[in-house]
Amino acid sequence: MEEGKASVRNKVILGLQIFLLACFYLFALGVFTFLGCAVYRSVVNNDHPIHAIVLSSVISFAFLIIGSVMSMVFIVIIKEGQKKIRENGGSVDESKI
Amino acid sequence: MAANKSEGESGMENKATKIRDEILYWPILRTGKGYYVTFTILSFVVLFAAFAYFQQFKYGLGVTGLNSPIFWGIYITNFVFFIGVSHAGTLISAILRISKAEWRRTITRSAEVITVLVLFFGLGNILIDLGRIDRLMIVILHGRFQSPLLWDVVSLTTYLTASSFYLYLPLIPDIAMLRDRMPPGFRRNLYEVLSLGWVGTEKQIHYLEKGISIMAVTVLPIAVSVHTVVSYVFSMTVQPMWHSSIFGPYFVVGAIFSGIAGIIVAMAVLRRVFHLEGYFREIHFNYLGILLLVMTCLWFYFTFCEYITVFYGNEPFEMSIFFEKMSGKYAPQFWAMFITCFVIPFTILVNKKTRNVTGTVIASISVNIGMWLERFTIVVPTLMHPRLPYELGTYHPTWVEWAIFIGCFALFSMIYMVFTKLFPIVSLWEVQEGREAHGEVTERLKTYLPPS
Repeated sequence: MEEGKASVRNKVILGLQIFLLACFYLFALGVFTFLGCAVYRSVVNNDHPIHAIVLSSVISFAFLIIGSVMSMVFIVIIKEGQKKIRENGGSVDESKI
Repeated sequence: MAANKSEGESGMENKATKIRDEILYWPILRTGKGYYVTFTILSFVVLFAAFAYFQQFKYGLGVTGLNSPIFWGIYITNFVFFIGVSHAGTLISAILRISKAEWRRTITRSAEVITVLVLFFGLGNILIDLGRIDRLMIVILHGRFQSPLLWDVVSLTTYLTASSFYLYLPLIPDIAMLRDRMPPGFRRNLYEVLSLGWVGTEKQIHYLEKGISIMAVTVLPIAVSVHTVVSYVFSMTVQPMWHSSIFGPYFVVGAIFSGIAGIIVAMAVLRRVFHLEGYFREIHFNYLGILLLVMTCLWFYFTFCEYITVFYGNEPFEMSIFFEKMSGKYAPQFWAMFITCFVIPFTILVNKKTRNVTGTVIASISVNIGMWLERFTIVVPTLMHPRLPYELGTYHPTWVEWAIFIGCFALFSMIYMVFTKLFPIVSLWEVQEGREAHGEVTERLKTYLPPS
């Protein structure tokens, strides 16, 4: 009974952690959409598209770096944490640091 | 036997270290009467500011002192000031982390929190200045990249995202420590989610440190670009005394200047309130004081360059604003700025005897007042004398603007207080790591010197 409860709790926590990462992806997607729309409008209206393309590229590059770092850190830490939980057969043990 | 003895000694040392760092958990685990009293007072100030904003929202920008041609006032001054202060975290944390300056360990967290929080206030002031906040949608739906205003929007969004993650990543091990200490309940669940299952495995440490390093390198150019772009909002126009090629670096220098001053004030308050004398030591204030002194001189150099160029150019429109600042309506603000940004901090910080905790704090408060005045004297006098054939403008901020201005600082303090209730204001794991890094530091020191 207790084990079942702990397992459900861990799943909920894992779900929320993945949700945090998903929220960031959603936000980044919003930024890319905004940049894409601005570039599209400037190209269609021939409204100084070079401005829009250069600036959008710079911002996209920055977001790609941030996105990669966040994905790397989140995925590794979460995976390692889950491994530890499986080893302990329950919740996360005391931090080793 | 010897091994057992050394094991015992190291165990005792670890225990002593844990007891020594206990004080860092106190603000999270205990709440004193002073906290509630301060929080209540600040809440009243914020409520009053909210009432003032409601008046503005209901009756329009007419309740402010803004008019034609002075359409930017305290709100834009606040925006530039807050974005400037946000450079505290970037400079202190990222530069010191990249350069492996060991004295950074206790002060980075408080600086990073300032960065993230004041950015929200910078952006918030823009929304307040819009009058109708629904106008933000116009930027999102119809924004054109020729406008420096849109450059601001995108660079600030990127900076806010980057600095939020730069604050969060080094927090993960500390959140895990809190998770392990907390009794079951809401806060434990919160820490459990935010710690991402951190257990301190080698792989986790490796990837976290890698992530922090990449973010430190990424956040620096973003921070510099942000304040450069903020300056472009002014310098890309042909308004007198705004259209200047040194505005970008001038604003960046000013931002770092006010950022360092901001972190010194925050450290002094935390040191006093939470008794963190052992973490925010004299030496930190001394080193930051030296940095502030360097920035004081740089600020003076840039200000001198800016004004001497205008004076020798002798362009009539620019000269009218120049004299407005030197001896006209805005002379009190201009000379107060000069005294608070240069005379006071330079006099205090140049002398080793006065470059102590009290001295650096006085200098920092002075710098923050001066930098706000600097932003004000950049924004308002130029609009008073526009190039276009408008009548000469006048600007008198109303109670609404002052109330919102004070409310911003009160709300900032409140959120900072809430942060200290939830997370350690000193990076625990970095402090502990620093204590164990004697060998690494000695080895690194050897690499700086010629082989013996």
